[in-house]
Amino acid sequence: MYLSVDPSSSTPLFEQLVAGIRAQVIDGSLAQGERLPAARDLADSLDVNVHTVLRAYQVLRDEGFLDLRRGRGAVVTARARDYAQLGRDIDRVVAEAQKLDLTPSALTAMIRKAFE
Amino acid sequence: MKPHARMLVAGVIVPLIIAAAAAVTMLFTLPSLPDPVAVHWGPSGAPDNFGSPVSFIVVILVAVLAYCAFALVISRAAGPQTANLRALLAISPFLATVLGVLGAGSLIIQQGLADAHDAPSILPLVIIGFVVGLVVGVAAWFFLPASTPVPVVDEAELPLLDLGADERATWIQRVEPARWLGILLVAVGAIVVVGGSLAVWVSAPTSTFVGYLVTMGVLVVLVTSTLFWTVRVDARGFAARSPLGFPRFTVPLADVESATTIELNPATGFGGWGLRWGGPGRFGIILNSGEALEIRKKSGGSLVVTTAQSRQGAALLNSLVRRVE
Repeated sequence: MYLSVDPSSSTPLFEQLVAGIRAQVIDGSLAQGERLPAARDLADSLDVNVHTVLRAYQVLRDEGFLDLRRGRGAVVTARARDYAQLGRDIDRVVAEAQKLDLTPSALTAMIRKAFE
Repeated sequence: MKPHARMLVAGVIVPLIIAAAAAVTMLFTLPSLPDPVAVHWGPSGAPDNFGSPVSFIVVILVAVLAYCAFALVISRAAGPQTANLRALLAISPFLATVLGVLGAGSLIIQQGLADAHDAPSILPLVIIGFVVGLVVGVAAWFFLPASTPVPVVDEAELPLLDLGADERATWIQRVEPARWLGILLVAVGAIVVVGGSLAVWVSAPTSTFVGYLVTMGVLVVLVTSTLFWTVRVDARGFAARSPLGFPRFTVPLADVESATTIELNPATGFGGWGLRWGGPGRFGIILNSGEALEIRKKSGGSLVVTTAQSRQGAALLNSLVRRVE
């Protein structure tokens, strides 16, 4: 697993971790059943607080991408399936939004509204 | 002499000449031998098994021929010359000498005897055979070509990735043995532990049984700890750690010369699986065939680990080194 964080970015570190791991689950480079590094090891390796990693793992668990089990660590769930179609749909939505000069945050707000 | 010719001479031709010389010597002793001759000696030094002298000659020739055929095959295998291969080839003349001295000698000491039961002890011959065999084997080792040096890598072809000045990156992989290797080890382990335990249980006192179980337990833990690894690349450099924390191999970033991804066939490139040497200063954690990460050290030598996504790991390591320099 390759992960990188940029402390100078305005995005919180745990969100950068979440985005990095989630992207790898979605593109399939982290397969179902694969065990992620222990939070302590990952924190040491990236020189971040262990709670930052644990928080990222918890967010991914809440999103259904990870299973957190005592003793087994963080395991990629069966939810990791084919996101290819969704990826293509999003490309179309973003292209449409750009045509309409919508900012990313405006588009996100619209998507969030559609969920409610 | 070309390296390959040296391999043929030491591993095949010389052993065949030794075996042929021993066989001819044995043929010359035939007329003055008792029939049957002693072919095996017991621990007391007295002969305990008897047979035809001709079958004795055939057995020794077949054993040497079989090892020479093996030496011929491995000397032709593709891949770099390794210390393992060198040792396997040097064993060939050693084996031929030991068998030749023992075979010819055991017939010579029986010349003129009326009854093979009177044959003297073979112990002096065993000692002479091993000493002469060792001398021949060591000479063959030095005659055989030294292990091929690690090939030089083109600086421009090193894998790299984009790394910001403040970016912190890590590459972590779990390394596990190939499935068939795991199944084989579990099967062998189960037979040794269960079968051995039963055998000790029925034949020895309880204290021996407990001792056997403890020894087996320690062995299983030791073997397992060299089969599963976590490898990582980050700002500190490279580290491979087994689940117990030991053994552990690290290359600090300051000592990393470069990292590459290589294709590895353990049967030729490293001569087996496990923790091994693959040439001078080249150490490998070899649990699979296929791709591996090779890290060359500034202090000399290199570390090779079979792992998935080795290109990513090599790229990160090279990028981290470049950023520091």
